[in-house]
Amino acid sequence: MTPDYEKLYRGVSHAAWAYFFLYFNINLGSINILPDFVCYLLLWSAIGCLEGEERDLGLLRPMCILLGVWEGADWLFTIFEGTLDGQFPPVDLFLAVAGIYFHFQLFTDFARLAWRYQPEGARLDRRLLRLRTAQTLFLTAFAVLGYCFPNGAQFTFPGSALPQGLAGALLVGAVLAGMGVALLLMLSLFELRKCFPLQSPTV
Amino acid sequence: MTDLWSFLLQTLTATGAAAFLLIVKELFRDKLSPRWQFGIWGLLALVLLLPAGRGGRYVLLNWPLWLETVKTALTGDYSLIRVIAPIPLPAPLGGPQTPLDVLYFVYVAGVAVLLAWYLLAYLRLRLALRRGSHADGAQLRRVAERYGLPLCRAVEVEGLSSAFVCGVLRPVLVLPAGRAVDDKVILHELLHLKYHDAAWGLLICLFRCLHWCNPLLWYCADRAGNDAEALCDQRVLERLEGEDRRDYGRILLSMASDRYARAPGTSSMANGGRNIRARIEAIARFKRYPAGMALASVCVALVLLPPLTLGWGQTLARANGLGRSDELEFHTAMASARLTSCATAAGALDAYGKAVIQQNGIYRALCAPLAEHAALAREMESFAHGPDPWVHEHWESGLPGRADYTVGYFLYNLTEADGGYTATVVFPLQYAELDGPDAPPVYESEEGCGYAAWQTVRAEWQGERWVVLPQGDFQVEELSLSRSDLYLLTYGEPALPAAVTYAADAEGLRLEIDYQTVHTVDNAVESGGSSFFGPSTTFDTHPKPNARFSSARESYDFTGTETVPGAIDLVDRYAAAPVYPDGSGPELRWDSGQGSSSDGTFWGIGRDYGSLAGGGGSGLDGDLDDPPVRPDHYRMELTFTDGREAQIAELRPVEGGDAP
Repeated sequence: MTPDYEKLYRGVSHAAWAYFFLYFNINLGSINILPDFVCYLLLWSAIGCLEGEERDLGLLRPMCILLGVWEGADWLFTIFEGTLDGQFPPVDLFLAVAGIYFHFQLFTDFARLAWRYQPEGARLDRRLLRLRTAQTLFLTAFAVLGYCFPNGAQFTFPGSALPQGLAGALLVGAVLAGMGVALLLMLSLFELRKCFPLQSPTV
Repeated sequence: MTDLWSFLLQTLTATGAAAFLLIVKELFRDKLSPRWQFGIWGLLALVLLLPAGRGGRYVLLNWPLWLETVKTALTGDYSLIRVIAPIPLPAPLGGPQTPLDVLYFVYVAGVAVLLAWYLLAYLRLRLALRRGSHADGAQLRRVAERYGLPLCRAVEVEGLSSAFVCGVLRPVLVLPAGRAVDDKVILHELLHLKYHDAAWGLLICLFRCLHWCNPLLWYCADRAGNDAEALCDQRVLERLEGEDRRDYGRILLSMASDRYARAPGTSSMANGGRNIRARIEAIARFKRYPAGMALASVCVALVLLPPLTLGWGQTLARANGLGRSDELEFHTAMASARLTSCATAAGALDAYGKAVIQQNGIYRALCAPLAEHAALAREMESFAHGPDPWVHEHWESGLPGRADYTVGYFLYNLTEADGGYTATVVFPLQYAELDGPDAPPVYESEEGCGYAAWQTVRAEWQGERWVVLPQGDFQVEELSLSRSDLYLLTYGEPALPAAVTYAADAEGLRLEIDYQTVHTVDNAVESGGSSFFGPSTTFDTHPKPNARFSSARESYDFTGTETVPGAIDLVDRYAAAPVYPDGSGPELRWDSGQGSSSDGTFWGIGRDYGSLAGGGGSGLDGDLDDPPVRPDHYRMELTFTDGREAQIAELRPVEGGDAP
């Protein structure tokens, strides 16, 4: 059966733009105009387009809903000057591990797609796997830092405190690393999109 | 665990962690490998082994706060629940005194009975194995050699339906007598032997005994046992190929209707029909875990590890505006103050300062010894239920006046003493009650100057927290500052106590330097309004139990008085410099006029002024949380108008120098 290249192209495009929403935030006052929940809406759409080609993607739907609903609720709270972040530590922890697995598995599946459709000799699948690893490590580091510095509070393991300067440097480093990984993820997904030849428009 | 409350804290903490892990495992049920599924129980084991509520910290759910609240509400006990060890320790001698003691006794008895029962079951099993016959080792050796696995003693016993490994230190492989045993079953049991699964089973058994009355933990123990079997299946399948894998599945299917009995220190391939169905489903998923999945598994475990083992620190619960009749909220606030320990001396002093400013007993409890909490609570209860409509947290600090909460407090003369610190806490006053609370308040002196109250306190480390102990009553001083300039107290104030007074007599003069230090915590908080210069700030009245000092200054105030009339008129100029205990210090400076330098030197002119007075101040270097190094003495040089040679005086600390 001939693959529906247009659908695959659309799915990967949605995924690429999803990561733009996930990793970049622009605030107008307290409102983020690039909300994270849009990322999960786009990824939901991407999964719908790609699951015919990669069946494992369908297993990620429940997690996509979970993460998207939570991000959407948090975004609504921020409109009213509130936040869900840090209010329910067990939920934050649960979502952190769900997010790590979700993005890991998603990129594993993208790498499989790349392996199947990339031109001979291309190594896009390997690059996607390396980026998957980097993103997983980054998300893990960010989750651990988030535990150490809840809402920017002073770090307090029992009986000691970490200097604020070091805490700030770690967070800035993590944010810069995240932006770097995000750009590379997007570029790689846009490259994966080119592996699906679109039909020339008929004249 | 030494009482029922500590057992409840330990078991409920583990319950929360277990429930959370079950949800996480459900999320990853068909996504992460059996290695992860079994290994993640290690986190629960850590939670069970680490004493709960260390340093007031909590795992996932704030059980320490809830239990402390309930305990105080039920018993009126303001002591802290402590889990010394994750096992029951003997209760104090003298037998149970209260119904709660009786319940704890029942719990300990339950642990002992269950341990004895498991021990007996194990001993009976070992005795039964003694009656077994030595098994043919050829098949065992062949399987062990083929897969590179260790061997142990093997026996055949009549009436068994399946093989199993028994024992941890001297394990025995037990085979059913008179029945052929498939190589794959032996492979399964030898893998149990290699990975010491019987030891894990024993540990699980111990947890069952310790938490015998906790059904969720028993369920988790069952799940962990099943996960161990599923992991062993995974290891078997990794060593088999093609048709052998399908055969292994068929063997498992054949065991689905077998009865099984779990004994401590054993591991058996057959573990019940429902569990075997789950294992067969896992076998069907075999190899669907993508390469590199180990990374995701480890990362997920890493993210879970710190919160489940170290937990979260407490933050002070709402401690303002507590309703007079809201007992539960009051108990919660007091429990929170017990659990939220001040981690630094600065934090404890900050809490004390704000307790006085706000007249808040919960804040006072935050930095008070635990032994004083009951008395504090009684005091607050008496205000709440007295004739005046006080809020529930009202506390009388004894401050003779009303603190100016927009300016806050200042810590003068921080000194290290006997492993702790002493300091003078200074409170600028909106008004002073100079003649007692019933007399009219005094807002300023006739000269238009404001008032401040001060009190000497000691901060010391007690157990797991810094506490503040007042060392006397409050004193009120008329300041040299107007009421609108009270924030300038951060630069020192001659009217307030000195840390050290250095003095000397020379050439008909009494020379004195009052030396002060002032430490502050950053308590600036945006007040909402803003101007061209940025948002306006006010004093943050919420305690910061982990605070560090944000600024520290020293100031010195010099006066020279005549002991011989006319002596001052003969002084032309003077200059002074500090000399530190190691002999170091800056050189004297003779700049024009009168002034001071940031290195602690100052200079001035005597003639024509009719008095000798001067001073200055500067910020302190180094770690602000270390007590400042004070000058050992001051060296002062005086020159004279009558042609005499210049004289050098050494101003040394004098007895009683800390008096104002």
